[in-house]
Amino acid sequence: METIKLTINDKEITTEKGKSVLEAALDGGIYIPHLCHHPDLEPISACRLCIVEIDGVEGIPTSCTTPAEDGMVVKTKSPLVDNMRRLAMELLLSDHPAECTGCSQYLNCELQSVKQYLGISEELSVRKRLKPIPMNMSNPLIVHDFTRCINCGRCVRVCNDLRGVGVLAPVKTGRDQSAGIGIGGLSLKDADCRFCGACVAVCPTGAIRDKEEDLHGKKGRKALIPCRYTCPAEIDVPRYLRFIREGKYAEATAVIREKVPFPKILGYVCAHPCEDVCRRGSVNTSIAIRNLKRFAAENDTERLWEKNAFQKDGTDNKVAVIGSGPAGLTAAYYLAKLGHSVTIYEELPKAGGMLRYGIPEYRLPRNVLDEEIAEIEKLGVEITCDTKIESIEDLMDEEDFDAVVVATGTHAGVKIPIPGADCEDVLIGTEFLRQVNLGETPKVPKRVVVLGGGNVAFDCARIARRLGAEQVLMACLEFKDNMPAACDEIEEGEEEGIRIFPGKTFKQILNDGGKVTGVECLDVETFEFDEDGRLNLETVEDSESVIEGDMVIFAVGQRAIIPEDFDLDLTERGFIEVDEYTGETSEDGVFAAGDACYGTLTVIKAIASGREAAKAADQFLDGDGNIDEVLAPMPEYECYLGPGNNFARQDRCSNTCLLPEVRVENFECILETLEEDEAVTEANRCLKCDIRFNIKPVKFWGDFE
Amino acid sequence: MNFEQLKQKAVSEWEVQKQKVDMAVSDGILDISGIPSLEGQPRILLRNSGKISPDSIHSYIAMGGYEGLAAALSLSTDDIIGKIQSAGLRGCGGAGFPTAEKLKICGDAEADEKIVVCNASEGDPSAIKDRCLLESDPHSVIEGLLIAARTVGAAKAFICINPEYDVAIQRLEKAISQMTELGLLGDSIMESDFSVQIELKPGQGLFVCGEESALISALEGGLTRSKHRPPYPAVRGLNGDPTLVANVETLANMSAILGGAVSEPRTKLLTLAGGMKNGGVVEVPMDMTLRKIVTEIGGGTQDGKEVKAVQIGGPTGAWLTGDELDTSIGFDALTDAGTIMGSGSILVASEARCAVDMAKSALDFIHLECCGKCVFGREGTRQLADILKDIAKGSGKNKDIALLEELGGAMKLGALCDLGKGAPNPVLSTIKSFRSEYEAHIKNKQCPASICK
Repeated sequence: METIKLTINDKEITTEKGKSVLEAALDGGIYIPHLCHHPDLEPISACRLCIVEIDGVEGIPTSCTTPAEDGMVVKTKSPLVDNMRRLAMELLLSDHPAECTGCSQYLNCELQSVKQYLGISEELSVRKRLKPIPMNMSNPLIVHDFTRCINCGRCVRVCNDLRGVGVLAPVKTGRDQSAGIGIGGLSLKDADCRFCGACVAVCPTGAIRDKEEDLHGKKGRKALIPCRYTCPAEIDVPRYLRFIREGKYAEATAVIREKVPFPKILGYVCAHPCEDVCRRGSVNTSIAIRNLKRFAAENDTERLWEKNAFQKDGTDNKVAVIGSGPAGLTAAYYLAKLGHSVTIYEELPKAGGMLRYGIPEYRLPRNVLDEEIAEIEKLGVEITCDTKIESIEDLMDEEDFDAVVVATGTHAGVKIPIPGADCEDVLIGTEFLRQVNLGETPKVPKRVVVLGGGNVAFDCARIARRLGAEQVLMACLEFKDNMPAACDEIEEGEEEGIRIFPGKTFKQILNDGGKVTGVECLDVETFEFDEDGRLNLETVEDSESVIEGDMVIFAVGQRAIIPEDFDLDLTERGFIEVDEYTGETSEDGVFAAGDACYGTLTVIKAIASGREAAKAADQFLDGDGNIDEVLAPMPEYECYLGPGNNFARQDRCSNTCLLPEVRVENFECILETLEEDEAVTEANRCLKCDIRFNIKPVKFWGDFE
Repeated sequence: MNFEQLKQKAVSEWEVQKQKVDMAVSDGILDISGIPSLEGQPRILLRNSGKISPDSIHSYIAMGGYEGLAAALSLSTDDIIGKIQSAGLRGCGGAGFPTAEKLKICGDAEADEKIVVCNASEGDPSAIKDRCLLESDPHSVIEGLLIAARTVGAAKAFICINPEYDVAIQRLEKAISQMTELGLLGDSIMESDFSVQIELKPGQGLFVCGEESALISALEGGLTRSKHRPPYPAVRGLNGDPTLVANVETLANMSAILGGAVSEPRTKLLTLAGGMKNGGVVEVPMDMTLRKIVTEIGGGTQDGKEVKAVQIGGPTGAWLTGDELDTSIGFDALTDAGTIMGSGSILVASEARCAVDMAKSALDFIHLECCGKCVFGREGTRQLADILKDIAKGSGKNKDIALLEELGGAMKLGALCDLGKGAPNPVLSTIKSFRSEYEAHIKNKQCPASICK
C-alpha cells in the first residue's frame, strides 16, 4: 500500500493512497464535522459540513469526496468554512424537531453532537418548520420517525449499496423530503425488509430507531443479539446458524461446543429461552434454534471441535464431583480439560442425573445421552455409580480430594399436604419418573390425574398415557397462558389426548376407603408467590369441582436433599448457599452447581452453572480459571444480503413429529431431526442480528483531542 | 455499402419519395419570414428544417447528411477533436464546457468499454429547442452521436429522451430502424472498423436530468440525483465506464462541423419561451444581443409595455435588465453578466410584472424539482422559496433580504451541483436590480405591481 503525506492544520499526516482527505484527517486524530459520511459507505457529499480549504484548490471542496494527495496542504477551519458550516447546519436543523429529550437517541445523537461542536444556538437565522410526517410504530422491531430525518442518506445507502436489500429510498411528501420506504405505503414486511437493523445502526439521529419494547431495557449486543445473551451459557447462536447456512455442520457444532459439552442433548431437550426472545419472533415466528442445534450436532462428521479444543497439562489436583447430572458432568468436563483428575460420584446406577432419571426417553433417546457422557469419560473423568456420598469431609480427608463440586440436583418431589394425599395411589412425580426410567413398568389405572403445570408434570402425564392410561387429566394453579411448561410440551401433550384444567387449587384427594376417586378443586381468582416463595392465593367462591381419576401424581415442585454431614450452609428453601457468581459454598474448596443451588430450572442453566463452578474450583486450585475456547473459525460477516423475496413472511419450519396415536404406543423419540434442506431454509430465516455490529461505529468529536 | 454507394442510392430514392412525403417541420419552430434582423443570417442547426422529411433517411443523406460521419471515419481521433476545437464548439446543454476537451478526456480515459449518451431530457419545461431539433432533423443529432462514439471509442450509445416527446421518439425510432437497414448502425459501419449500437431510453424528463451525473444515475437504474464531480462522467460514468454525455444541439453541431456546414459566427438555438409577441425556437448568431433578440425577433413584450427584465437559461437563470440586455448570447458573455446559457430559453417580463413574484415562481419550481441530495439544494431552495412566499404575502421581515443574499451566496459556493448553484440566480439578480420592490413588500406590505397577494 502506497503511503502519502499531507499537511492538515500544520500537522503532518501520513495516510494510504486512495483515502479521502476526511478519512486521512479522522485517522490522524483531526476532527472535521460530518454527518452524511460513514466509514462503511460511499461518500456523497450531501451534508456539506466536511468542507475544507486546500492550497491551490478553488472554493471549499468537501473533504469526504476529495482524495488525499501527497503534499496537499489542508485547512479544516477558516472564517469562510466556519460560516458555510454554520449555514449548512442551520439548514439541517431548520426542519428538525427542537425537542430532544423525547427522542431515544438523546445524548447519543450525532446531529446534536455536531450542533454543539459548531456552537449553533437554538435560535436559527433561517425559517424553522417541521416535517409533518407521523411516527410509524406499525412495523416490527423498527420505529420510523422521519420527522427527525436529516436526509443524510446513510440508511438509504446501507440498505441499497451495502446490504443490497433495496427497501429504503429518499421519499418526497409534498414539498418535504425524508428517507422512507421506497414503495410508498408499504409496510417493511411487504417491502421485503430483512430487518438486519443496519439502517438503525447508521442513522445519526432518532429517525430510525429500535423499538424500545424489543430491547427489554438492555443495551448493545445484549439487547440486539438476545438469543445469545439470554442463553445462560451464551452460546453464539447467530454464528452457528451462519455455519449451518453454509453447510458447515462441524463448524456449527464446534461453536456450540465452545460453551457446552452437550450439543446433541441440548438439541433434543433444551428449554430454548433463546427462541422466546428471538427477534425474528417479532417479525413472524422465532427461529427453531433447538432443532437447528440438533441438526448440526447430528451432522457433525468431522469433529472439528475436538481438534481445536484446549487440554491443559495434568496437575496433581484431585477434584470430586458429587452428582452426574448436567451441572456435575459439565463441571467435571472443564475441570478435566484444565488438567485436574476428576471423579464423579453418582448415587444411581448410571450417570446423567435428571437427564436419565427425569426426562423420558421419548424426549431424549438414551443412546444420545450415553454418547455425550462417553465423551466426558474419554477425557479421563471417572464416574463411580451406585455410590452415595454422605460426607464431604471424608472425601477431602480420606480420599485426598483437593476440591469438591456438589451438584446433587433436586430429586425430592413434594406432596401438598391436603386431605387424602397419603392414599396409596397418590404418587410423587419424580419418584414415578425415576421408577419408569430405571426400567420398571409401574401399573397405571385407566384414569390418571396429574397435579402441576410444569415440564415434569407433562413428563408424568405423557408417560402415564404411554403406560396405558386412557384418560389423563392435568390440573395446575397457573392459567393456560403462563403455565411453566414449554409450549411444545403443552401442544404435544394435548395432541396425545391429555386434558388440562388450568387455574385450579387442590382442596382434597377424594377417596373411597383409601381408594382414590378424584381431586376436589377450587377455581383460582389470583395468585402470587411472595419473596420467600410463599403462595398467596385467592379462590373463586363456591367454585368447587371434581376431577375424577383413580391415581393422582403430584408434580408441583422439587426440593434438594443435602445430607447433613455435607456441613454446608443452606438457604431458607433448603438449597445450598452459594456465591452467585462463583458457586463457592460456605466451606473452603467446596463449590456447588445446578438445581441444588437455586431450585429446579433447566438443563442449559445447569450447564452454565457447572461452567462457573469449574472456573471457581480451578482458581481455588491456583489455576487461571480460563475455560474460554474458540473451536470454529470466526466468520466472515455478510455485508450483502440481497433482495428480501418475501423474507419476512417465510414461516418457521414445522416440527416433524410422529403421529400422536403412534407416539403413545411406545417410548420412542417423537421428534425427527430436520432434513438438510429444511435446516438450511430455517437458518436462512435468521435476521442475522449480529452483522449489525460489524458496521463501524462513528466517532464523535469528543473522541478527538 | 460505402458512403458513395449509400449516397447514390439515397439520392435516387429521394427523387422518387419527395413527391409523396410531407416535409414536416416541427411545430415549435418560429417562422422567421418577415423578421428582417434574421434575413441572410446563417442557419446551421436548422439547415434542413423544412427541406427534408424527418421520416426519410434518404432525404437527409441527399441533403449532405452522414458526410460528417464518413469524414470522421477517415480521420484520426486527434484530427476529429482538432476540427471540433477549431470550430470552438461548447456544450449546448447549458454549461458551455469545451466539447473538444470533453471528447479528449473521455477518449484518453483507460477502459475496456466506453459509452456515449445523448442528453435529450430537456428538463426545463419552458425549453423546446431540443425537441424541435429532434423532430425536424433527427439524423443530424444521431450522426453527431455516432461521430462522438467514433471519437472516444465507444460501441454503445444511448439517447435519453424526455418521455413526453412523442413525435421526436417516433421519428428517432424510425431513424434508428432506417439506419440499421442501411448498415449505419451495428457492425462495420460504412465498411469501416467502426461498430456501434444505439438504445433509445425515454427517461423521467426531470429538471435535474440536465445534470449529467443525475442522468447517468437514473440510467443505471438508481435514483435521479446528482453525484459529486469529480470524477467526471467522461472519466467514470455509466456503471463506472467513461461516458461522454452531450446535449442534442451539441451533437447536431458536431455533424455540421464534420460535414463542413459550419460558419462563423457560430449560432445557438434558443426558445423564446414567454412574455414576447413571438414565441418558438429560433437559431441566432451568438453575437446577437439579448435586446435585439427580444425586441426584433420576439417582437417586444406581449402586453406592449417596456421590457423590465429578461431571464435566459431557464428557471436558474438570472433576470437581466437595463444595460445587461446588451449582453450577447455567447457563453462567456452570459457568464460575465452573471447568468447562464442553461436551457437556452428566454423569458421576458414587462414593466407590469413584480420582481418578487418573478423570483418566487422560479424558486417554487426549482425547489420542487431539486433532487434533494445536498443540504443547500434541498433546504436552501426551500428557505428561499419560503422567504419569498412570506415577502410576497406581506409577512416578510426586515432582515429577510439580507438572509436571501446570505443563503443565495452560500448556495452558489456550496451546493453540490450546478442546479443548486444556479438556484439563487433569479433571487439575487432581482434583489440587485429591484431592491426597492422587495423593500416595498416588506416595509409597506405592498406589491407595487399589484401582483402579489
